[in-house]
Amino acid sequence: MNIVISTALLVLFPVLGYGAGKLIKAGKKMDRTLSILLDGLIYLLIFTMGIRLGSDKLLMGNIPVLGLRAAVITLFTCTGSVAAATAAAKIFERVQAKHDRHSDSAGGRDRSGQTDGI
Amino acid sequence: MIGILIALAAGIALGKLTGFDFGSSGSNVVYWLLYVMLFIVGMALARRKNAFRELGSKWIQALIMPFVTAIGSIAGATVAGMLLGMQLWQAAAVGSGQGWYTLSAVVLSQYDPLLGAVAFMSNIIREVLALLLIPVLATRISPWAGISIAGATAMDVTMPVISRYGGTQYSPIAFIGGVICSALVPVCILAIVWLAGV
Repeated sequence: MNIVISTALLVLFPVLGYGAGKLIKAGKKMDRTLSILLDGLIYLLIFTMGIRLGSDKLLMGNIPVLGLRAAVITLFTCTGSVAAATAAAKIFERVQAKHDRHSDSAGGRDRSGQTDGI
Repeated sequence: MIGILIALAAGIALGKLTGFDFGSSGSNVVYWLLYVMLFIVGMALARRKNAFRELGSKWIQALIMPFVTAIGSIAGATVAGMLLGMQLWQAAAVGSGQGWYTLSAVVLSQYDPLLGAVAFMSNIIREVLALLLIPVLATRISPWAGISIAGATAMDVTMPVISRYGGTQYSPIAFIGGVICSALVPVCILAIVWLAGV
């Protein structure tokens, strides 16, 4: 499939789903159904991916030769990205907390200022 | 996670035993399955009140995180390269694939066919590992950890899993993260190759 079309569809489908979700008026039962459906489809997607990997003779044949090297690089790549993102998220949290405290105390000063004025 | 692992193992076993070849329509089958899932993610997002408001200032974080993810990935791959005794630029270039195995393999095989094969395998493993670990990372550490391990795949294959385990409100952020990571893949690979003077 053309990469432009497939990318456009990747944007289109959640947008269509969002529209449908807004239009359909349903209760909590609907949320539960969507959750179960998504769970089932996640397993189906992973199962399908497994079939694709298992039937790929080139990939399976190269596992003994290149697999260890690829696996080690992946392990470190994943660890590096998760560690960096977790550290960055912590920094963002601290900055946000500082900002919130600052705006709270500023709000407090404003309020006290108003009280003094009254 | 056990369920996901069983589904993957059963799929691999079936594929290996039967040799069932999806052919070129294989990716279409996976893609259409993905489109249905993304439709459901969109529906779930619409049904969550104030989903976008809940994110608040996280949008800025969403734009910065893909760069942090790319830096972390490349740094991790470089350490792996040192341990494996590989040329560091090669390991770094493989790591900057961020799960986009087709692109990274095609680009790197121009420099070394074997490196292209390693990039293909490494990035396919990253996608599978992301699918397996997102439920754990997103619930035990933070949804950001789930999005970061997904890399470029956060915009498609792993987005429904991030949405399911990290929270529906994180699906637009995962998509943005995946798009930026995808855009960074060719840029990072070519920058590394250029810096290495290959």
